[in-house]
Amino acid sequence: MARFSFIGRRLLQLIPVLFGITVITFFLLRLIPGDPALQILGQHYTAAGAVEVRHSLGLDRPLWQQYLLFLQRLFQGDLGDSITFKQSAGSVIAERLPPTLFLVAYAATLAMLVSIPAGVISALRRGGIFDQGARITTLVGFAMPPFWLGIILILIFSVHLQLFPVNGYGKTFVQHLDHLFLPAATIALGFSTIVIRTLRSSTLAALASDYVDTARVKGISRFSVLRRHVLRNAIVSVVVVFGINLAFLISGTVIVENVFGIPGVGTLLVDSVSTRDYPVVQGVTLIFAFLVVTINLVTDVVHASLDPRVALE
Amino acid sequence: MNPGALLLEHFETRARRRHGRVRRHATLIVGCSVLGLVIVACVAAPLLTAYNPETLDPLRPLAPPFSPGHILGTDQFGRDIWSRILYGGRIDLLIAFGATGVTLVAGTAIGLFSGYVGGWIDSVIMRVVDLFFAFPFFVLVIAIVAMLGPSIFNMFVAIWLTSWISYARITRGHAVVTKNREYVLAAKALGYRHSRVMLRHVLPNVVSFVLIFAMVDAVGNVLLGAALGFLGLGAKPPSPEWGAMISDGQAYILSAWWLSTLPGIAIVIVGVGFSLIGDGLADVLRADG
Amino acid sequence: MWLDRPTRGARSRRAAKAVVIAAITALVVVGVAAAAALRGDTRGSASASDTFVLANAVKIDTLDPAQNSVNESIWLTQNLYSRLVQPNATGTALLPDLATSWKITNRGKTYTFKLRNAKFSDGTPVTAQDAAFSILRSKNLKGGWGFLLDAVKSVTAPDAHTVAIQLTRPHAPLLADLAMYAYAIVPQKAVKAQGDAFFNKPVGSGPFMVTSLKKDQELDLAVNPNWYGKKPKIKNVQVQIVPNDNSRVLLLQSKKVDAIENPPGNLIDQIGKFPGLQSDLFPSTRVDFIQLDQHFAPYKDLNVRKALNYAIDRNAIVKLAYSGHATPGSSYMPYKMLYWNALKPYPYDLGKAKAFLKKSKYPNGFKTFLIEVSNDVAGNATAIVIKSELKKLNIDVDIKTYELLTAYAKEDGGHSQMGQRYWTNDIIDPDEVTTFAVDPKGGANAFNTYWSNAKATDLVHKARAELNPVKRGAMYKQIQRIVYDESPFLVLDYSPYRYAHGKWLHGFHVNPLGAYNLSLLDLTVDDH
Repeated sequence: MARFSFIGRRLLQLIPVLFGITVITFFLLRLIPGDPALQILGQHYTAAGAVEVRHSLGLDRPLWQQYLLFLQRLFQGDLGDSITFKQSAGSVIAERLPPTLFLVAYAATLAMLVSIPAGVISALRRGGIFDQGARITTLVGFAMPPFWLGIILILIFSVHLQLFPVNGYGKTFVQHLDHLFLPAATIALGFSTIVIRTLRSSTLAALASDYVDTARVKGISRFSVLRRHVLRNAIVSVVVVFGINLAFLISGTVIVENVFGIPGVGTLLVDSVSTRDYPVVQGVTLIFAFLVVTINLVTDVVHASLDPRVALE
Repeated sequence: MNPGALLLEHFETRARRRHGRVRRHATLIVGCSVLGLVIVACVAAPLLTAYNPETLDPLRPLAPPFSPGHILGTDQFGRDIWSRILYGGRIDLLIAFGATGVTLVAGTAIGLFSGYVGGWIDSVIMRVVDLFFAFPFFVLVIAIVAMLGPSIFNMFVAIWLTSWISYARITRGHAVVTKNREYVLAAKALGYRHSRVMLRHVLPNVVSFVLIFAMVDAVGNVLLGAALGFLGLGAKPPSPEWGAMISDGQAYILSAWWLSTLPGIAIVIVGVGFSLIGDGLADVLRADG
Repeated sequence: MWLDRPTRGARSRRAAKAVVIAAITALVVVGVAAAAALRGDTRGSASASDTFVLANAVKIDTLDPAQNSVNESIWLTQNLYSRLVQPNATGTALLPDLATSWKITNRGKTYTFKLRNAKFSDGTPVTAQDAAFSILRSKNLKGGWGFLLDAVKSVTAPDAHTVAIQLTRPHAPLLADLAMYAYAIVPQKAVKAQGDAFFNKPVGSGPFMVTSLKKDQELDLAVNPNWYGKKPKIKNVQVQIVPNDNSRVLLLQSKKVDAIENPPGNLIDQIGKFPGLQSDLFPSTRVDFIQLDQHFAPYKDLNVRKALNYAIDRNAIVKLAYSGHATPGSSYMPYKMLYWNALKPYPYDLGKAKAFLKKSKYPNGFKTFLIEVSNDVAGNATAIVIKSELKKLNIDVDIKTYELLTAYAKEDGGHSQMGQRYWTNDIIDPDEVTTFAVDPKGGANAFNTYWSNAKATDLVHKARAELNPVKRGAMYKQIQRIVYDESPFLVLDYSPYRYAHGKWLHGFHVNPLGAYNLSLLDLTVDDH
């Protein structure tokens, strides 16, 4: 079936991308000015210790061998050892992954709940009060720094109204929903500005399309046209927008986690910068890239299943 | 064409002619005014405020807005917030123009070259571009800054290394389409040098799209610079950069909300200015094109 | 499109649809939030009034008393283990702990302790062998506190309830040293068998034991059924790690915790005005100072150091970094502790500062960096004030921010310049802080300055062995004077321990060493 060969083709296309990701991440570590051993050993620096560190990082071998060593370790699931946590970088990242994934999913859901009605209604009532309001809101919303918005939400909903906790993650599923609502809303509001605009223009295009005219001339009710063609088109657009802007969505979690004190991979990244824990920084970058690529693949598949024309490209 | 669309176009043309050029340019004008005002204010900061943004005043910490002598209040060190916003604006505007400007030029050049030349060079360059797109942008910037060491300059370096790809992709796409148009082929047949063909015949088509995108990118760069300042990875204290101000003010949110709130409003104003210019350009170009 | 003008019926249907979608969304969101708010309770299954919940700002580094270096962890491990002796609630004298009595013989060179019948939390008895093992383990740990006990020749256990310590020379602070958290008693067999893993679920003979540990999130304690003393009034202790200052305050305001550590200085007064809450400023042994690494040439120059002292406005620091809740610092020894010399703090005098700088080898100033700890609001504010003041001397200070342990690592080791650091006493005797601050072999290279003064060092050793309190006092006063004049580091201020608690909590008290373990024995928590 066309769809399976489509998935197969996409998977094949993934391989060079995945390799490329490892190359870029590998070179990240080489950006460190000066002697990495000095940075890593810090106050415990001794000449002998430095030789050991350089050997374990493979820095005493030619560059291509270093890369192969890096790749080999990667296949074994070894991302290196965290300097601060005294455990493998991989295990540290694995511990912190669930809150981030929860947050991304929560934010994506909230964003969809808000953007789909807003985008579609804006298009249907083009030029009306709702549309104007939405345009202004998205204009201002796009320019709002997410960390600032998060702080404002904390001020209003946590401090003054005491409706939500200020930060943290909670222990049970329900507590997660409670703790992560404001952070997810912060990300969702920023993300929605893009989705609403895109949805609006694609819905407008769908409304003006020949298909709709033909259907109307045939006498099919506006409502069914809406339901069958326009709405479906809308959802496809949303999926596409998600795919394209996924990196933006995931980036958003880094700063929002920081503002709300969520023990996820985003705060791990920032903390690792201030502790100069290079293996963890490298590991997180790699994991994030894999996440983006994976979710992109999933959205492409969903897109293909909703819109068969894509699979035939 | 269907009768409905024909009629729609008829009405729209009538409306357009009635409201004329001003209406079409309204968004652009508003955007330019807003941004222009901000730029002038930041540049003319010494004329607009008597305070130095870094002078401490141990006698007047945490004064609320509309306090005597301090229209936007003071922060925890007694530093005047209005002056810090004005001087901090210089840094954020520098980020907006400096980061965007360089990536715009570099990315456009690379994309133009890649699309025009085609062949395996094009494939390689586009593969690299696709690769960078796989990384969540912010994460990559942080990682680069982490490796190089947090500072404003390294933040610029990180943005330059990662931001050019969007411009490259846009211009490459247009270059590919345009290079087979008749006038380009004609220019080539006339024996013009490749560089001249690229600059005089292919580039002009792309410029408008690139500029519109650049406005969106500028907003992104301001937010990015502020985010890095917020995390302490770009501008550092006592720099009055807006993101760093917001971060500093967090500790005082329960007693002095204005420390974090006001710089955020400044960022929003700048972002809205750029966005309006971008929208305005799109409106103007759509009506013309 | 005019062909498509919707009929009124269709329009209202569409509007209705939009309204329904919006309403459902709102309902879902509100419903989830409400459900969460109603059911979300961070307290756990224990009933409110038998659990004491404390919110700390810093994550736990380890529960191994020999390796603790973070204050908050130190104050927590003191609840888990017993020592031979312990400080009292005011930090001015020593009380028996595991040792019920002791004899000092042989002109101060032999100490014999008699131990009580005590058990570890797993039921095994605490023996003198455990005590000897624990003390020696800590003493012999590389980079630990062993140098405090360098006068100790041997620690033996003649029988299961007797510990004998032989010294090479009289050592005045010995009892105070043994009361230190590092010399807590751990079970020899278990530690030898499990190594570092033992400390993830440690077994001690203190009033509380660990039921669960997540170093960067939460520590749960329950009463140790085998503890020798009177049962505490509470049954459980829950310590939450909440690094964000505002979150801690909000947690207290919403009554989710009973006490918080380190509320921001600017909120101390505000918290006091909040109904049901109270802020605490416990007298402390905390001294905040700036290390000046003499590997950086300008700091080797006495005139430079003097100039720095006069250029820093300590009153501004007190006002801006502590909202007034601190005292300008003078002596390196904590405020008003035993043998404290009431020297006057260096006054803020820009003229004198410039004069000293002119006399130095760097009359035109220089560039330097200052290492500070992230998330330390008072420290960060102090750094800004210092940067601003030193600019007037043409000294350009670049502030470098790191996470706590990283910052400390970068400040040690001789590659630093200016570094922010603070000290709190772990024992009630001046020997600890003096050794650290003055003795170049004292474990910290004189607060990482690599400074040394022969006369002062000699006095430190003499004072350690001097058993006559009057003579000893005079020596410490002299040492403080020398340090004050030479200023190897800049003493900035003394600040109290800041805490806040709900008025439903009774009996919470922190002694000047920062320890609150004794107060946990009598603590009560009302329903709230």
